[in-house]
Amino acid sequence: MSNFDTKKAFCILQRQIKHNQWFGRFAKALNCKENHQLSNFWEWPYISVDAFKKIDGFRCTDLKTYEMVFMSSGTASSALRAKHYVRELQLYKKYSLAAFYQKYPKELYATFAFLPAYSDNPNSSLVQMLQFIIEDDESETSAFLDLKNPTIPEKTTKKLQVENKKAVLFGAAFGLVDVAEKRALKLPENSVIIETGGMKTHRKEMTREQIKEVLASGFGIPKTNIHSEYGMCELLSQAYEQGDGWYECPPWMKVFARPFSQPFAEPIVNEIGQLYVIDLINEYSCSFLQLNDQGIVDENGRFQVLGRIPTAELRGCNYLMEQN
Amino acid sequence: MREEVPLFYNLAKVKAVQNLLLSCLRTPIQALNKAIEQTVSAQLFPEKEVLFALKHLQNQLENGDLLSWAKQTAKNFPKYSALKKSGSVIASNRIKVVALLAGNLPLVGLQDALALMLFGQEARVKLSKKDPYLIAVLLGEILKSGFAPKLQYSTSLTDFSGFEATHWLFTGDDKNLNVVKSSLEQEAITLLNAPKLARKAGVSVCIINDQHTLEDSSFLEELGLAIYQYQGKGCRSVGVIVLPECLAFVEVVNYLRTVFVKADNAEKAMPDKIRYELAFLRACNFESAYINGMIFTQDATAWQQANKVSVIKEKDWVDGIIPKEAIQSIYHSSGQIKEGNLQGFEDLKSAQTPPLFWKPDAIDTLAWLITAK
Repeated sequence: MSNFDTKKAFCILQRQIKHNQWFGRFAKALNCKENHQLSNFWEWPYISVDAFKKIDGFRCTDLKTYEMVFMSSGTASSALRAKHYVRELQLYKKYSLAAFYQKYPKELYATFAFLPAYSDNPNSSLVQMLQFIIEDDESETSAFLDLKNPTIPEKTTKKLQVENKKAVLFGAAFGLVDVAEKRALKLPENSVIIETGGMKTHRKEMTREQIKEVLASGFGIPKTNIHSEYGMCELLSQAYEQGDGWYECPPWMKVFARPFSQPFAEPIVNEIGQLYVIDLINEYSCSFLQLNDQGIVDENGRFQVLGRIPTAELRGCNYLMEQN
Repeated sequence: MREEVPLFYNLAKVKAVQNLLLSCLRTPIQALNKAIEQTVSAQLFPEKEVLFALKHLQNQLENGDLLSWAKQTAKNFPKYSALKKSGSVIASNRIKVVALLAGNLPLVGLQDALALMLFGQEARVKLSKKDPYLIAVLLGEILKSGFAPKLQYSTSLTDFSGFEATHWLFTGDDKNLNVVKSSLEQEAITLLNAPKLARKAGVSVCIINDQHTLEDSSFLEELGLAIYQYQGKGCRSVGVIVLPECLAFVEVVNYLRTVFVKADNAEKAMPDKIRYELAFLRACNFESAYINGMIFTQDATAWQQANKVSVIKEKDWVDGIIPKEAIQSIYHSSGQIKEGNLQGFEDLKSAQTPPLFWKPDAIDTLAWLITAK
């Protein structure tokens, strides 16, 4: 966090206001000052992350070509799915690998990915990132696990022992929970699991704590070895949490919180609020986003995610378990 | 053992229930006054909404709606013996129902409770924590008088653990439905995969035909009530306005503004959250305006939040931009309904004052129970 380059962020802000017509219009509608104060980053405009859903082609118009469109998963029709136009996949590769290796050094870990459902989404940023991580392993130990019969062969486990490496099992929470409950996959000792959240539309919704308990007991590893990744197709950067509940941002990402329903308030520390992010790798779309998640940010810029923000009152008659 | 015939066949008893409820409402009994006070002081609903809902219930009962509902049902399902022969669960004594009442408007769950009373079978009613007092008083009176011997109610679901209902009633979206289903099954409140009636409609639509409609002051008054009475909440509230091609968003908004802006609100500063939402909608190229606490916008998905009204073009409406399953009612102005062939449309005037036997999601709850398998 302390390494975050506010000056660079400010340059990107000015460029995006100029070249991303929607973001520019948003800033104008809020009467944002022409010359934003460098120190008061919270006074900059932060557009709702829903812009990636509501605006087709939400990106800087100087981005003439793009190599990939990342799309959010979900059962929603494509019109309601977020789309993120990525100018250079190499840039995404560079920074997603750097963020990952900062926490899980290549020489110490081999990565195994288990991503049921994501295989139906060829535009998943998560699948793309894991592909980069797996391809980057010259020892060829890392791999995507078979979706029907996820196993890490004995041979691979031995190889890990010889190379003195640990296994990282990376997957969406709902898929990992299924495997854990069936006791269908034996992990080598000292393995680490990274879950990416996401229990939506899948049986009963579970809290992150419940997920961790199921995974720890199902895979027979300590709860502290259950880690999490915070990422989404709208962000080209990822943050990791390594068992203590706090996500840490890479130096090019900054997360802060404001009180609910106060989109212009000063950031709050160690209190629950709505999360906002600056992601400098989103250079050709928009780096300044209001997220739909709630959480806590501490004085070091680490953050916890505590689910979706309480939405404005929904129309219609709706029975809500937590309220009723 | 004497066979118990469903209450809706016993019109004398239904009439007695109707009179009983009316006597509670006409000169509110002490318990009801207390319930109103508790509801308002706990800030569950504003007093204005509570009194409106109670007055409307009184009107429904004075119109004889409960009796009409029973009569019509008895007419549609003429003979109890025929029901038995058809294998309807009503005759088998195997049916047990749990109803989870919605609570986003005062008394909105009462219809389900009355349907269960008319149905007469073993039933448990889970009152919403948002509306725990008012319905409890009315059901309490019914139970005290012995009209619903097999019905029990509570605000706590755990009171119904092990009930093993064969059927259940629910109002809400799929996301909540899955969570609720799993909790009910876990506590054996329902049997596994018990059939359910899940009402999902979330919004009602008002179709404006031409400039003339907007110049009609009674129409605008009705529209205002349909939008603002419950601050946008409730599936019968208008959350979508459909405009003819000849009318521009800005024209309509100007009409609405002149009528809907109340003097006391006009001076208030716009909350930051609204300022942010308006900027975002405009950034997305949706024309949008703030009128009297609500955002009117061209964003066709905005209606999902109670503080927003989507204003869409006729062409988009015809193209099905609003999902059919989300729509409760489609309203026209009273005048047009009288003049034209507008079958399937409802009178805008009745948006917040439907009859007691209105059909959420176009399904008669009592008929669903009777024909449930």
